[in-house]
Amino acid sequence: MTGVDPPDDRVVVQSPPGPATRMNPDSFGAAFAASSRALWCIAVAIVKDRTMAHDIVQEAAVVALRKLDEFDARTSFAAWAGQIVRFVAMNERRRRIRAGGHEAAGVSGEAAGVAAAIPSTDLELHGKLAAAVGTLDDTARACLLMRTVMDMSYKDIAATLAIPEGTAMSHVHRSRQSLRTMLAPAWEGTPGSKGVAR
Amino acid sequence: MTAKGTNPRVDQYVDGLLQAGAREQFERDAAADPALADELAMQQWIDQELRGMYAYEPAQAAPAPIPLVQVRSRFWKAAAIAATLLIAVAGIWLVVVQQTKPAPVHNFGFIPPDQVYAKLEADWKPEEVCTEDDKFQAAVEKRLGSPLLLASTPNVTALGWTYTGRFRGTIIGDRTMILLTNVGDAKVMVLMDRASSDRKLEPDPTGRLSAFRRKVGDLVLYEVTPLKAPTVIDHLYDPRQGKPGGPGR
Repeated sequence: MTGVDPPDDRVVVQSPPGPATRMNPDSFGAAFAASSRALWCIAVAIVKDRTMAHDIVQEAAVVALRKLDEFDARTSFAAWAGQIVRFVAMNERRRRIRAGGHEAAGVSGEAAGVAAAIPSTDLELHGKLAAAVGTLDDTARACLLMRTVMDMSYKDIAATLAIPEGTAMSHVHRSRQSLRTMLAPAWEGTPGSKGVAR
Repeated sequence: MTAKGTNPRVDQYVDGLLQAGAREQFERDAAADPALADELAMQQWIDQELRGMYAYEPAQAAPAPIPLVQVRSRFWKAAAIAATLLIAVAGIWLVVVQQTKPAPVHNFGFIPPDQVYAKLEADWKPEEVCTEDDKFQAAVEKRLGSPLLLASTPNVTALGWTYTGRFRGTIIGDRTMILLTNVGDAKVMVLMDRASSDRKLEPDPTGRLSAFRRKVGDLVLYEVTPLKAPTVIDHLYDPRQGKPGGPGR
């Protein structure tokens, strides 16, 4: 098998030589549950809605179960399921846009409750952070959330998104730097800032 | 803080990637440099906010059923049992209907063949090199359910297969295979799928490429080529129906 440059930074997942082995449907539930947090991260990075991300993971589980005979159990289940979640989430996002909606700039889902819990002095900054996170590309946002929110190792992030470990790390670091750059003007003068002249 | 807030040591520090010595040095530097300390504080605030904004909560379980012992009246008890049975029957019916209905096609958008060709053209290498007849036949049979072979044809070199997983969308159906070939100096691609998945493919808006269709048994083949006539699909055949002429590929 000859390697081919993928269309983006994804690694072409190659099966080991020899006949494929199939996953027992009975093992599917446990494997899916074990990956569900990472899969939710992929979904929420695309649709930016925590509740909807759960629905997407559920729908992806149904699709994955139907396509289980296409999964080679010698390869990464998380990567395979992650790709399905990604497709389902992108489909949902397109559907919402076609239906006249538009993408959420930041995260939604219990947004009012979250906003109510934030001191008013930080509210503007919080909104800017949500908007800044919304400008990251889907893969970078998924990497950032897996690392920051889920405390996943770069190895696990790379396996779930089928990208090289170094790429996952680069996405996280660039995303953080990008967020700091975007927030720097708003950060000045806030209680968290030390009032450093820049 | 650096001019643009992009000191890489801040990322390495919050990520726990600095060795003990480097970590202590960074902390000393931050204590002496208010700008660096400010950038670190900002990143720690961002991380904390993200954990709040995107806090993961497992999907809510279905509400717990109301215990029947709470229903005092015998009538209501019977009614509750009847309702439970009705719901159970409806649930089973729904599951049976769902199982017997054909699986929904998840349409992630169709990709025109010229776009597929353009993407592959820059790096005309197969993901799976296939040079033996039996492997070629088995690959098609395994994925599409019908065997296929390419008869030996002067000037036509089959390079191998590339798959649709790298394309975010549907080319023909959900199992499309792409055969890469060279015809002289020309790069010619054959898309193949089950005939039941056949659809009308979009023409190349630039007119540079032509697409030729042929049905072989249960398969549908599209030759996408910069040439003005098909040179490959006429030599693809179902071995169960006999060779069109000449020994194998």
